[in-house]
Amino acid sequence: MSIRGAAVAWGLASLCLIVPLVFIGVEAASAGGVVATLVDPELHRLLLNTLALAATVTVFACVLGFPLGILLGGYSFPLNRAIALLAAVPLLIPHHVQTIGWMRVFGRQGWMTEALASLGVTLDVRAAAFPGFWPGPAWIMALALFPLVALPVAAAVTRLDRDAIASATLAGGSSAALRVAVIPAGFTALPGAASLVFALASGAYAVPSLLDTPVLVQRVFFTFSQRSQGEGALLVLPLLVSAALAAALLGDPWFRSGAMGGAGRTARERVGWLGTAIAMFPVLCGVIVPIGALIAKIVEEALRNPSAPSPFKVVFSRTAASFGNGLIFAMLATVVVLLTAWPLARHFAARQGAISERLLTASIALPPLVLGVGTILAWKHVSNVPLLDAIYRSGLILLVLGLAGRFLPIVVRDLRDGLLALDPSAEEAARVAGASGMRRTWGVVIPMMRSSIIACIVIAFTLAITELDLTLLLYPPGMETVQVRIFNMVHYARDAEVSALCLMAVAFAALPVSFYALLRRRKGT
Amino acid sequence: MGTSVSIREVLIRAGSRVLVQHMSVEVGLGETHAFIGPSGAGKTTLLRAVAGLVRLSEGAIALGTTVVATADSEVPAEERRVGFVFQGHGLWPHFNVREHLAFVLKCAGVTATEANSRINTVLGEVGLTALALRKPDTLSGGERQRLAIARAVATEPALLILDEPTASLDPITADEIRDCIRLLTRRTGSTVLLVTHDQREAFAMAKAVSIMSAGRLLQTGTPEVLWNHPDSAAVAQFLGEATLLKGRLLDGRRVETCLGVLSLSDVPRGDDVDVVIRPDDLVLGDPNGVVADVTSSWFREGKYRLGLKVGASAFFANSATSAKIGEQVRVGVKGSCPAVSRSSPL
Repeated sequence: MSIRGAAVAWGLASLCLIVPLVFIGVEAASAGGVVATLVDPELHRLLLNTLALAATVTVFACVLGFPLGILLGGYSFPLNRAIALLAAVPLLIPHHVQTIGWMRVFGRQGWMTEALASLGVTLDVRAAAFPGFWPGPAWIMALALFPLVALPVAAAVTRLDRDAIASATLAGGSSAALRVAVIPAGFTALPGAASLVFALASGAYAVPSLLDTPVLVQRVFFTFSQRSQGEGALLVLPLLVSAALAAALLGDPWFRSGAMGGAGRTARERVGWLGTAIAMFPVLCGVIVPIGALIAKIVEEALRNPSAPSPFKVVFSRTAASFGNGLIFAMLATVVVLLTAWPLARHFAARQGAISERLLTASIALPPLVLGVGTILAWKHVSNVPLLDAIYRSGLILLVLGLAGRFLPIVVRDLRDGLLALDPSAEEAARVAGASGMRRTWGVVIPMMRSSIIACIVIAFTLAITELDLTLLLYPPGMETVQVRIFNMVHYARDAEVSALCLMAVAFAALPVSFYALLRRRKGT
Repeated sequence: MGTSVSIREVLIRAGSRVLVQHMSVEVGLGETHAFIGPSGAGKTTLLRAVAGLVRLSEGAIALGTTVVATADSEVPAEERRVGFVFQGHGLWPHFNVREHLAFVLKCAGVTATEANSRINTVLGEVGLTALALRKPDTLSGGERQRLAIARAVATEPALLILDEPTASLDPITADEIRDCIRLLTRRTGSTVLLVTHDQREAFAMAKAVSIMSAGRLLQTGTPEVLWNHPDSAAVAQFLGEATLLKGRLLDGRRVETCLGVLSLSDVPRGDDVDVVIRPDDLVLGDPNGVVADVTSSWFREGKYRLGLKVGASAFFANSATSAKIGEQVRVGVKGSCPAVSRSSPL
């Protein structure tokens, strides 16, 4: 890796991640009423609510994801391949779409709510069951996040030595194998996965906003965008502390787990339809219910008013530009992420365990709203410089940098893992043969990394195109993305149109993933 | 054309761990020099340092008259023009056989016409002409090894480094690979550094051998010198199937052991010595020998290998005839034996 390339990459990574944090500190320090804000009991209450909601989400996600991971990684059951595929789909469904889908069932005018009301039972999924416990919002967020538990647990179990399972089975039967070998293997991935879920849940904005859950991010968003940027920056500080805590707990297992390589190829014990039923439950709740509810809403409207034009056509004619905007932002962010991540991944692959790598990894715990606030504050400070002023006002680069910073740690880790999986002597062979650094990179390393690089492009693009929280703060005027449109349309558009737009957005996000899956299948990798 | 290699007081650290400790070895122009020793001896690390893939902590390495590495400066690996056959091959999955060779020749600045001719020659020599368009994942272990060798010699490097070139190959394929290496290096005149843990391979291929253990050089010499005059018990035992018998020196070349008074091929230092006894040194049925109990017996490579016990000492002997376990045989020692001083630190 050239020193110049590494320096540019570090510069970009700093611009995306470190500079925003610095300017949050600067703005918070210069804001008046620091003490009054920080000792405000209302702030403490919101912070406690945030932590309680995140903890509930984490518990729900582990309860849903852990058994699924154990089953996918360690056992064979009918439909296991289809369920393994569907288990990752909730990651493609943005949280707000998940929420809209579930609210079609359990919302104020949801089918289940109305059915229960006719029986005299009142249900309000937005309400707290008791102080600090919001089962509705926590459930919906957990359904969006449980794959982050299931997939690493499955990967950890898949990596388990099959002879260890066989030995335990011979000693004490299947239950002994489960107890002694399979579950402990799955547990190794659990702390990292749970920390990540906690971090993402404590910083999530869309679900609490749609369900009126009183958490700190809502107050930050409102204060920063409506009242005072200084006070907004101050309110971010407790969020930063909770993110730092989650980051400190964030171990390597989640990042090192990699893909579920070999799943389904080794001989595993069959558990029959009971395994299918257990594994199907989170998939049913996380994919089939919300998507099915969206489809059902469209069908219901079509049956009610057969002469009405297709909601897909109507909504697409109004939001085509938003699809284009999302595409532009996602593509630009993917390019920036990839160009920044490659030199960093090469650096980290050569020097494993560096503190800088751990810090970069930990930045995944940064709430998107915090990153957005920091990015705005950083660029606001240079807005009197002629060229930088244009950048600040256009907003395009701000969003691209924000998205890049948000997803950089994930892509760096994936690329680094890909590089570490390569036979190191392959590059060394080119080196001793006289190949220059550039020739080694283009002639040997990149062709060998092709599959990992494509996977990273797909991941970065998909994450960027489904992102909402950061985009809400940073999107340039007149350039709403489709996710922003969905979020705004919830409050005023017809349900069928919102549902149609949600389905189109999910399909749009799923396109590159589907393409990648087909490519891998064709190559048999 | 080969180059001489000079390894001077080389020390290599990885963090606080010392991998190679003050090694010094001289290899002459066009010679084949083998490094043998158990796993973790530092053999591969040392040769990776010669290739420029590992930095030195102390000492220096020179190829010919050029010092290519010291602790402070080094010629980059890509400029040393060394051929390296990696233990794991390090093949490039996206290139076919021909493209592997074309790539390294392009890196070496060989013109396309010359490269084509060289590729045809080398592929013919390693027997891969018919597989020229195949990718590594479709080749057998032996074919992959041939490709790794072809790639390393295609540029006709002055120095060829072979890291366990026959490890994990069956004996017939391993012999073919050794022949292939001999043929290629004879034509190119390259100096060869060979890493192996197989003493037989080292003796079969190298003019001189260095024995390493735990990052240290135990002894360097020709196979004959190492076999007949080991410096230490560790060297004697590593070279194969030697039993060390405790003895007391009677005079310059005679020593008293449990097998009687034996004559020594060397004059050892000190009174307490270990005599190196190898299976072929023992004569069964020697009327002047001592009585030994047979503890095991099995057939191996045309002979019977007998496990024998005399007092507390156990050793092996080769015999044309079998013996029953528990039987007693007379055993003597033919000729003189090497001996090592028991005060030797190793």
